[in-house]
Amino acid sequence: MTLGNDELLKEFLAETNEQLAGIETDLLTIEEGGENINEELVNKVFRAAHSIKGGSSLFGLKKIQELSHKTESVLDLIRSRVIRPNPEVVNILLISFDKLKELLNNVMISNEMDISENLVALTGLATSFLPQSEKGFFHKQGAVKLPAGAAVNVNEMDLELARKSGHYVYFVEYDLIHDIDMLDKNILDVVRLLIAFGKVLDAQVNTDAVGTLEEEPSGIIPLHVLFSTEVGPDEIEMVLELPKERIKLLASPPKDLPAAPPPIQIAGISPPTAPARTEVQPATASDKPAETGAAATQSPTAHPVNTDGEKAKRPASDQSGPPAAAGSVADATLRVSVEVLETLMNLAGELVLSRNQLREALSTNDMRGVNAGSQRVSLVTSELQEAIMQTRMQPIGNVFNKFPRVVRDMSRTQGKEIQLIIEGKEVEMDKTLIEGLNDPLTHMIRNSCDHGIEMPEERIRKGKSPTGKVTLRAYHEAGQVIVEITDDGKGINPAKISASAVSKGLISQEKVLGMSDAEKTALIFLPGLSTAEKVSDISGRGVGMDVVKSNLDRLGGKIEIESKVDEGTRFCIKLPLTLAIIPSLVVAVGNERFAVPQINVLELTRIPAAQIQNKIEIVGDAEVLTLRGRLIPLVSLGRVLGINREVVDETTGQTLTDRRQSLADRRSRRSPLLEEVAITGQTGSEPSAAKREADSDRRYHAANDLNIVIISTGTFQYGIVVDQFFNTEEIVVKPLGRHLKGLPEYAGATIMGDGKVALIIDVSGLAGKAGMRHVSGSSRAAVLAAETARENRQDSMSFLLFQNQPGELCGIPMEMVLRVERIERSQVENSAGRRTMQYRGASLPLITLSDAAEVKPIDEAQKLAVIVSSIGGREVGLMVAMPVDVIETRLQIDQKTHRQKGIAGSAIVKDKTMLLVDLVEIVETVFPEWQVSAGPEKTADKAARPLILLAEDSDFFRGQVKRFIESEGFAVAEAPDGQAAWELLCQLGEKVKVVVTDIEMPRMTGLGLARAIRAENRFAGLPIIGLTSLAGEEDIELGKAAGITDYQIKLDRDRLLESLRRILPRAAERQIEF
Amino acid sequence: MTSFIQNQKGDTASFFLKGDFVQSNTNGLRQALLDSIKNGTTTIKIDLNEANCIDSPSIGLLVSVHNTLKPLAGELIVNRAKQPIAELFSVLQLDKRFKVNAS
Repeated sequence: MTLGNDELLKEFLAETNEQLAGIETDLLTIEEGGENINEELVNKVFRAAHSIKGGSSLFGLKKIQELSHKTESVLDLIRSRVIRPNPEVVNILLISFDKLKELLNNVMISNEMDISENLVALTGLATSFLPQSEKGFFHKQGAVKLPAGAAVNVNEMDLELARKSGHYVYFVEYDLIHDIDMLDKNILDVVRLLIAFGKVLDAQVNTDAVGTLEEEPSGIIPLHVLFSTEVGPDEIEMVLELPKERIKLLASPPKDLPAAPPPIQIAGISPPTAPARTEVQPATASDKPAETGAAATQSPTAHPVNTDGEKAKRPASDQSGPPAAAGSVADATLRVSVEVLETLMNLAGELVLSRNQLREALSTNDMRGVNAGSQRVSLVTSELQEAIMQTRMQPIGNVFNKFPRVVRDMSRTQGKEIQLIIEGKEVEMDKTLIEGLNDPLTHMIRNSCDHGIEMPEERIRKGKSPTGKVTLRAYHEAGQVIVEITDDGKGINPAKISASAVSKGLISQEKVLGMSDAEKTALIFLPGLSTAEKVSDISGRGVGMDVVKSNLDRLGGKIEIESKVDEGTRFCIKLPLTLAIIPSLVVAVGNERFAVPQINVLELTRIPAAQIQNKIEIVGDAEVLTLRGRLIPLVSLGRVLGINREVVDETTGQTLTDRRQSLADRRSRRSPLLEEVAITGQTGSEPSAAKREADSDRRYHAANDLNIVIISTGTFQYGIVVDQFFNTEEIVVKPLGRHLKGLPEYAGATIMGDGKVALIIDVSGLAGKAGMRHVSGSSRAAVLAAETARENRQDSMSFLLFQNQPGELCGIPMEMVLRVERIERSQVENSAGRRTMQYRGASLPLITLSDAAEVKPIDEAQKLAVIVSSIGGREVGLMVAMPVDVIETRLQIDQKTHRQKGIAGSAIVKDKTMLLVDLVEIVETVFPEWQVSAGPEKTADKAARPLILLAEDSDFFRGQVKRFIESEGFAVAEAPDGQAAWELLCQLGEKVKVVVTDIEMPRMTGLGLARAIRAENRFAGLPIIGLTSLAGEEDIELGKAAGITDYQIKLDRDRLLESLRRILPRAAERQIEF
Repeated sequence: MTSFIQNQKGDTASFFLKGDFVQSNTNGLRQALLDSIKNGTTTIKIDLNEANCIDSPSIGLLVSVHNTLKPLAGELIVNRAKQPIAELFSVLQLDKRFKVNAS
């Protein structure tokens, strides 16, 4: 091998990569065109193969040369319309180009690599399309009739290809001494001339005629050339400047040949005008000066020559090839347009001028000049940064271009019909990012084709078009690049994913029960999870999406998934434009500064020292921040990295080391670190009152506020607790030294304006170091969120407050209230011992609390109001004293102290005791004939009463609802939470006819219970009624998704019973044996 | 003034050309090569690092060296040939007769 000059080889490989970049797309377009051959495109691919052949011969890359030659031959046959580019032909060409890429990526060992399969395929392809009479041309050597003594040789295939390309083939006989040297020509120029006008099929120096060193120089050096050119016999002598007898015509183009395509530039010896080659020109007087070459290029043929200058001006989308294999020689090079280089030069000049200006101002102590100079330096630096970044920017199309091939190949092998739509190829990104995107995107596109898109028959059954659609889209948004991969396939089934994760032991069943569908879908990022029913060569090995995620993490990107069963899946990748300079938030812990990439920063929040105890909870072993209803797990940066935090002692102004282990060091029973009193230094003993006060002061000092950076990793959020926030800055990313490479919590380092080093935080790595994982973190957050939501929502209800007597506060759940009407005393009518009022054209029965309960009668001297409610299907008005008020609060309801007829219990509201009015009991007392409650006696046979399983964690509500249900003649089995209900249901089995469940409960929520029920076949069709005090549309949707049949408001007795009556017939066949 | 430097190491002789590989610049080279082979050299290395061009007689000289070494099972190696010269050897297929390492 003659691999000599590294720089030249690198240049060749870079150029080759450029040429190969769009080959796949071009070949696929050629395939689509079928018989309507796009000659321009075929020529383009041909040129690539041809250039590779030329270049590889220069470096002695025999295998590359041989394979590119055979590939070129087949392309020539396509160009000549001998071969029709059907899918089989294009497939062989694609595979050949793949092999060429492989050889080029392993250039140093390419000569030892095996290409026999490719050669056989290409040869077979070429011969199979030739007429019977011409078969064998591909191999047949020496069959062409050459003059006697000719040292050259050519296979008939090349000869035929030349003819079909519209070329004449000549045998040319030079004597290097007499025809070249003695005519003051230079052998290099002669060869350049040949190449400029055609193609050297073979050339041989007759070495035997030269003799040895011992012999006298013979005076002749015969050179035989087989030359293929468009130049006809009439002009050939003039062009070659040789007598006629030295040129013999061997073959002419067929007469009916269509116009020949333009000749090809050879990458090896360039035509004389090629500027890059002119730098090595013959320098001696004996050599032919450059005019010969110049004259040659001014020939009438006027071949289009692609000069280096032209290349430099090409749009970036035409430049650069696909990312080469790691470690390949071409990796290290990048083509930059001359325009950008000129801009850089100009800016460098500007920088020098600015420096001079600054230096001058400093030497004369001219502060105005210093300011002006520094401003100028700042401006030029920004522009310089932008221009330099531009040199690294490449179109994302460089990666996208490979996917038509990937999708095509997968469609063929899997028998699917898949259309790939690519948008936004022109979006530019940093070279490193583009290279890093290659593997994750390939994996996701393959996944979409393999797992996403269904077989055509299945798609038709689902009412979809038989052709599946995969869309790859890139666009800019908010300074980031968004890459979306969307398919209209079968989507990701969250239940299947979670079941797979559980069965593989990657996550517990309990965790899964508390997860939303989106969180279950995100489980695909767990290592080792695959739901593919069979392992194919494409996917299903359980590796992949976790690698995709970690690769994207390394690129500073985020990935999100949206998926709907039978509708499709959308992956959304968010990436920074570049990795070299990134906007980052600078924070500090102790005396150390750190940079947090802005892309991961959602928001900053400061918790005043006085609110820390309220805002930060300790759930399990985790500290969580309650932020606008969400629970955000917290990580103390100082604690994770082992840096001491500091607190300011307000009384002394001293800065002390904060030795608290808990952010919410509340000295309460909730804190597991109750006894940790490091600040006071009195571990385990009760601190003195004075000390306690000092503690309090210190903890509530403004300097001890908690600064939290809310981080999003794409799949979950968490907060980083730091001491200080600084500005957002554009930082230059420096790779970490070898000794720090293994630390996952750092993504790199940067140098700050004051010259100090700041480490860049890797948010995923930090979360990992703190014991969080993206999915487990998420599930934990979900559990915590559910727990807090439950706490927040437990017994949280709206009550209408009123007074029966001054100071006697009463309340009714808002769910029971239809309307509130202010009335005058005169409106109240007394007849037949009953109070009524005319209301909306009818007589409204009026009741008061004292009708049933042992309370003072209402003071009718006060302003009155009537609370209209519906009991037993009839409207009734509760007379109360004004004013009335509405509150929403969490209540601890005491069902014993004030329990009596008409009063369900009591609770403390605003430091006062509120009597909870039981309207149903009052009505039953006043109007027994209404038979509001059918009562258990309504159904004589207890065993025949339908059994309702009631799950409700609040004793009060459970008691109330149970009473409603039993009053309607149902039997009730009670459970204080979802888990208990599930266990009870498993025991009772089919005896249970309907499940009525609260939503927010400990251990297992109502939604979790519903999912568990729906997951069991034996409970198929079991109606579930969800009870909630907050039934928004979202809640209802969530409930339906979990399998809840109907939603009812807590304590809305009539509607609950109506729902039960409506639902029960469906479950009528269930045997009652309770 | 000699236009080349000769270096002998065992049975290998290296010749470093000073300037272009053209007849006018290689006086005495043919004889030096012959003498070296007669003295037992079986490997001749010719370094063309400084040569920007080559003429026909010099090509003839290389072929003669090759022809002389061939029966002796010797080897001719052309080192550091500049791109146009290496390309020329490739087109003329001389790189199949002797080893050519491009610069």
